[in-house]
Amino acid sequence: MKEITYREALREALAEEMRRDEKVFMMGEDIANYGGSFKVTLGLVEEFGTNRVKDTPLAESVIVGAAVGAAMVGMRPVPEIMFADFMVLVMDHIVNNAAKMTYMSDGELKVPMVLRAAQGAGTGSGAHHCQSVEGWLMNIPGIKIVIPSTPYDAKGLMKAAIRDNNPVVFLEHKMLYATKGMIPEEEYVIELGKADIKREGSDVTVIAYSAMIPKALKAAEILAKEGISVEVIDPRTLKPLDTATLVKSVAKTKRALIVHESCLTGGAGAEIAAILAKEAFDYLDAPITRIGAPDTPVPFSPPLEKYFIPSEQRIIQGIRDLLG
Amino acid sequence: MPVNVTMPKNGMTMIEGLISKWYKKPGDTVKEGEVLADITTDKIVLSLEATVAGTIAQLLHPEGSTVPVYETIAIIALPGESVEPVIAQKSAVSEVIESNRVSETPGDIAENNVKATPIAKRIAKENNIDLAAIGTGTGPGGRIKEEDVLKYLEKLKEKAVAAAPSVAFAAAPVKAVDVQEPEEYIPLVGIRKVIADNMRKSHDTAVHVTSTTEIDMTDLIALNKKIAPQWEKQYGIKPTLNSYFVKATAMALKEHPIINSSIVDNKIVLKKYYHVGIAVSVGEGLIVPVIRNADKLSVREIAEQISFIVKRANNNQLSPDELQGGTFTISNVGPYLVQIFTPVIVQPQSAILGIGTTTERPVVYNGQIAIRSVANLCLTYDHRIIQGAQGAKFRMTIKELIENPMNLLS
Repeated sequence: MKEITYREALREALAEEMRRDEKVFMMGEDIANYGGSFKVTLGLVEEFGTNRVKDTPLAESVIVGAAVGAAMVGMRPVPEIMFADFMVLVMDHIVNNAAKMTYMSDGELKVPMVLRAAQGAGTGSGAHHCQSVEGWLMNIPGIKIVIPSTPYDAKGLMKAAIRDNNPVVFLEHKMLYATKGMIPEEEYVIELGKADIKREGSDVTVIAYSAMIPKALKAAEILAKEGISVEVIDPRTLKPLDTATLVKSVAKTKRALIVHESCLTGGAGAEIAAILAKEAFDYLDAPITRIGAPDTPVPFSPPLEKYFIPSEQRIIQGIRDLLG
Repeated sequence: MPVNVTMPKNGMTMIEGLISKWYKKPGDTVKEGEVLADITTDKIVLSLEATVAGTIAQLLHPEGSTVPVYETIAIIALPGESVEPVIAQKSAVSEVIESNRVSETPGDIAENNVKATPIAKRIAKENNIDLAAIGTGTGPGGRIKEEDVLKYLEKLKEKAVAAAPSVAFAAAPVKAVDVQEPEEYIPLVGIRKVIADNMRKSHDTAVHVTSTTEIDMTDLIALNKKIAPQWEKQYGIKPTLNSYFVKATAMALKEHPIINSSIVDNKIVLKKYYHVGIAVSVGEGLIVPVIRNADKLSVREIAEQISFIVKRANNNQLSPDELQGGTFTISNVGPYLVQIFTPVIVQPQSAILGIGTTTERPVVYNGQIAIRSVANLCLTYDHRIIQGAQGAKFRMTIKELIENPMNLLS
């Protein structure tokens, strides 16, 4: 085992997959010599050259449009959108091309693309650079959504995403890049669609992902001192969603709290809550509860931004309310 | 925005509090730090202070109600805010946010629809129980939870058992009561309820045996008469005999480790720390301050701690945590003319020392009949853990220390 940051874990996964398969290449803004805005691709151009670590013009539509085309003719592109907020500029390529091509060609064409993007608030970068966008993407049939919370998950899931024959959107969180975790020295891959129980507990299930996992774990630790046993589950991929693991946990604890940083209305939490309401109905002893950001843009003012992002305190209060 | 005043959680074990007195009524102005209410916990009375200045918009629970911690019990409108429609008032931002939402709880849901969680409904259905019979649950807004149904089922079972033999006695003549005989009902809530439950639990848990030893208090009383004025002058404290008993007990516990124990998970735990609780009268009530690590303290330090805790208790400043964690308890009923009594063990401790009233009596002293001040040490011990001889030896050690009190000061 070795300790590594989330950012380094992603870089290792990208490098290993590019060594393994020469069809894998990356393209994005400032990803080559500059190493990417968040330094995920730092140094990769030295090993793989500018043909496989390609800088592009500041035009997201070109990046993803070209990547979808390359994927259709047999390449395995890993395009990067610098900020997930700019995802809206490439929605047509994702929704109408990448996600549909396999269906419309009766399986003749495949789009094995991994679209990477950094999302999330906490850096004080304001309304246009801090959004969490997984909710927008949940309603697109034909893509997979990966959203890791730890270095271990980031690496294993990135390798699985690159090997997957479907278009995958891979959402990294800015506030997690510098977080550290242990990973094995040897190679490993994490199957998409498998949730991970980050902490076992018996009184309430907290379903969270991405940057909400460290907060949920902290909340669980604090409440453990009061004798409240919290189970924390990270779905790790929202599509496909490991409903079996979620339902099994809620059937055990009888209470579910879903926490995400993106806005509450129509978010991933709504989907998870609907599934639990059906599949775990006869086990529920409290209403399924969601915590998310308010339905506003991410505020630029630091105190407001802090208020906007769901906090440990809100999670603790949410758990207390469920047990009340 | 108006500020919610919630039931405080004072101490790790507090789960609910009794509003024993409201000092304010709706419409009253409050200053920051002003006392709003007395909150009675299972141990003490707390003063709940306002954290902001403003006007009381609403008191949500009447005096005498027991409310879970963190639940809102009052609403304070800030200066300039309207007091009347305070609940409907929302900030501009939250109005924008909420305007997109459809009401989550339509008011016209049939009123005879009992509120219950899905698991509660399922269990009720499986057991042919009418949820309406349970009435109000313990969940938010009276929602019936799984726990409520299980408790109700348990009660039904108990009733069934109790009802069984009554058939045989049904013919026994019972004098019909024509008129309502005068009775008064005192709700078993708050401290009363906790005491009742704790007493029941202790008797259900331990095997109580009490035995007594007479001790000669004359020398201790004489010693304290000499010391007390000095300490009062020098340190501003008045040592009572209790301080010496705490010290003697801590010393004796160290010598007899089995007395300072608990049963946990089928094991006897011998505690190597000596936290001695001593029951003290405060106002009309009784509290048990815990003197932590009493073995490491001098009699004077113990006296200081007791008087400090009593002072705080008199000012309602005590935290429940100051009354918890004892490993042994002393109950001195000296003022109440008691010769011998059988105190009940404070769980999960394994013994409790009762001290009876000191009286002057003729006794044989140094081969002569003399008038001496004597009292009884009444030790109740849990016979599951402590054998008779072990209890006797413990009492003997205390007797020796009290009858040779200079040993307590060294």
